[in-house]
Amino acid sequence: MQTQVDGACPDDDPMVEGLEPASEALGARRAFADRVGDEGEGGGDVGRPPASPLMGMVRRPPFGGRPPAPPAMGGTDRSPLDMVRAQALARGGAPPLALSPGGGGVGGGGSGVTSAAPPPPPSGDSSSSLPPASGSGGAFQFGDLEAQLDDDDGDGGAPGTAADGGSGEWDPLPWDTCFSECHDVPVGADTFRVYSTGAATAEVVVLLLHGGGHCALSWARTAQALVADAGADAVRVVAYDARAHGHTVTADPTREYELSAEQQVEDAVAVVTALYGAGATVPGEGPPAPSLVVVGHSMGGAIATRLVASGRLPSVIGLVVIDVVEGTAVQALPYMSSWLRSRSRSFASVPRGIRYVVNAGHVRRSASARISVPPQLILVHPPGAAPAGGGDSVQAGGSGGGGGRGGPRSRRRPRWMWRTQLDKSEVYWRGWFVGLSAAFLRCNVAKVLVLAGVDRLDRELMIAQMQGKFQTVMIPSAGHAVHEDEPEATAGAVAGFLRRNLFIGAGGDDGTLLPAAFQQRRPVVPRRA
Amino acid sequence: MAAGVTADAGGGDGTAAATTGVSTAATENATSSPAVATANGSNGPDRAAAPAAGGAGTVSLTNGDLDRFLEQLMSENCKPLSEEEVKTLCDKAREILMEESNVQGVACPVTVCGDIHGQFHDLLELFRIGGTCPDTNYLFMGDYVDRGYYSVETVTALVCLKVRYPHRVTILRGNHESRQITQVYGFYDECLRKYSNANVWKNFTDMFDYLPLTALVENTIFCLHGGLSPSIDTLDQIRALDRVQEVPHEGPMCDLLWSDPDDRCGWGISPRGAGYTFGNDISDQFNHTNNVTLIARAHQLVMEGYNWCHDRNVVTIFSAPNYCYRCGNQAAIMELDEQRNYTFLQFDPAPRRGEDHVTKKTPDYFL
Repeated sequence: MQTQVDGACPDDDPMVEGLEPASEALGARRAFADRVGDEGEGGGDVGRPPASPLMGMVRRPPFGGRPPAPPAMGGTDRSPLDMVRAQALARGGAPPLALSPGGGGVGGGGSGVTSAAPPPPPSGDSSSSLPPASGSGGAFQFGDLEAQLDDDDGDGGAPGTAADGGSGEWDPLPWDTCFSECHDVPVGADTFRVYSTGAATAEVVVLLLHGGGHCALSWARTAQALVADAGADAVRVVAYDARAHGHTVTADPTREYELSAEQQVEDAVAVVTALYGAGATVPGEGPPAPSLVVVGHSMGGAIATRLVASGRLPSVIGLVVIDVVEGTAVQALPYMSSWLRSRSRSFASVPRGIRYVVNAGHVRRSASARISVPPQLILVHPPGAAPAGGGDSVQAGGSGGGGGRGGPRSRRRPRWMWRTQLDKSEVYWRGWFVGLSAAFLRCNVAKVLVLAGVDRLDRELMIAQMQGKFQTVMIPSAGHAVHEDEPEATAGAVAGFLRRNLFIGAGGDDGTLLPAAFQQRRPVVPRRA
Repeated sequence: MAAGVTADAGGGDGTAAATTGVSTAATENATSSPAVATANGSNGPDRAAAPAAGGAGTVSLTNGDLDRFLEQLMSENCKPLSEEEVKTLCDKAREILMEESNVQGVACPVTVCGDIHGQFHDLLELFRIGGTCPDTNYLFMGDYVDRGYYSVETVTALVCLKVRYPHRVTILRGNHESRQITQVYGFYDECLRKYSNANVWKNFTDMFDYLPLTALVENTIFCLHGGLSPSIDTLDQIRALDRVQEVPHEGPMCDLLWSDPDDRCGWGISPRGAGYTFGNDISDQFNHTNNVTLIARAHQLVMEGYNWCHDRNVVTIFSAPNYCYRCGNQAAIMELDEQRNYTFLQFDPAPRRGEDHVTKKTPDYFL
């Protein structure tokens, strides 16, 4: 093991250390990272990785034993995400099945979707980004030269080592570590990945909307803690991957990155309707929908606010927004692009990605990151390198004709890259946040704002808070990924909110929540703030 | 009780020596102070008189010491007390406060003030507007610390005034006078920053447990930080509470510090996450039951500094102008004269220095 001190292992994108990719090699790497197609004759050095202090050690392929890849689709301008989509369509065969309350109903189709019964470790889930728990090795052929040049990791590359195998501290953990069910829910032509836990019969459904670039599994620890805190019979916790995130597949590739607030609200309404029927949007139509408490983090918090403010889901009774405030978000937007550029772009392995996310401080708990990071990464093959296997890997650039010129490229290793290209959503950022405070205050339900820092309130919310119009919960020990850094505290805030507003039982029979006098003399009507 | 301090406060507040002590400080602050005329710039006589207080009670703190503290504190160049001085001050304050009632009686004339929240320069402005102590009697309704950048100075000055003039100054407990809240909203961090350890924070928060919860002005105006509680119908029920504890998460003591009046009738769950909302009918009933004419409370920001509600059964007073340096609100205090006539004095933020240099951290990632 090496370089765990600062998280910037030489093989990861060096920009984590603040270095500009000045060298030719880095420039080439960036070109790769930018998913430039394999058309250019960019020079013979394209495949050379940056010099590693540990060069000379022997590299092994990061993973092996993958199922066969679908045939690469034609075209030279494809993004890896096109590949994800293609795979999902190819791998599924049968369309994903709808979630039936209580589980069941999903089995075949090879989509990796299971219900009720937890799946085997990630290797059994043939979804696009989860690495196999163990590899049989040798799936990829590497030139000796490159293998020597590129090697730097004693822990991330070798199949069967602790780092890849399932017992290492950066190993991925499967979704069923925390959630009990997983479904691919068809919504129109698209398919949304939905995880859930807690009793299907619970009266309150807590709908979790993740932040930009994150995925539904960023809620895993919080969901688990919430069910433990509130009681499995009291709440049903549901999280889904937004479009262009995680395992959600958008049929029309041109619409994948339609991440406008409006579209995401539509998506949320559609997912809820798919899960709970038309009664969710039109009271009286079909079976009554359960009461909904919408919880969103960051971008998801903005979407949750818009969703509740829209009134599209009349069964919403509560809103929880985590660490997003219009004033500070809009203030931070100018720096967002450079922040995104400063992230490492690719990793030799999923454990490397997990380690990076934790050591860079984006998520402070590895127990969270080990579940939430894998769906955020996809394996991208260098142009021209024919994957030996893998319905779960994609090829950068088009393969048409690329293979013939492959040369050095063909020996380059596949890399794990971000599944969501956040820069593609930039046109929508302002739309997510501008007017958010007013929309939040307009939401006519009980609401709580969970923040990682007291300084984040803007004027509008500061006044409203100081007038007692909503609840704030501060979790100063957390970073921006509050729910991943402090899942118990976050779940406690949500559970306390549910109890206090009588959305669920007060728990315990000592009546501590409501004074006896209050209960006896004055019937409690939950207030809509 | 400290014989020296209480004897002086009870009978001799108006002496030249006592007046001099604070007014001197005020003179340095503001040439516009209405109290300037009485100040002669010397605290000599006061020091001479001070030894009378020495040795009384368990905590030795003379009026001379206190006047020296006040002189040091009550200026734009406020210099916080030393850690040892704070400890002595808090010990003395605790001695005084533990003798006070949960419903502390207050006589007119008195000036009633709401939240201050560490906005020390605005507190100095408040004394310029309302008059200096002990020429003006004050009743503060809690929330001295947190949010603003000068919580240490603010609470030290107010406690100093309380100890120096215990019968002319009343300080109630707000929901921010709590260990838990201060650890999140700034006071704890400020103590660490200014004293390099948490002793001062501990001394203050231990003392906060003794602050009275409510006050009753001339048996007609009921003053408290938050509002009413569904567990409480009468003032006697408040008198019966055991207040010497951290502010609980629920129950009558919590409600008194957290509740808000509401446009809707009856009781409601407070959107704040603690306390309740109470309607006009509740206020009306409470005032009738307890034979009071008005509930004066703070706790909520009101843009004009004060706000009537519930058919003038309730008034909200907020005394932190431009709250948290960004809200753009006016502040107000309520003067009650001997005939219990009220006058609201509004004021704007004092010209300030310092706060603007404190930059707020912008989160680096917000998607």
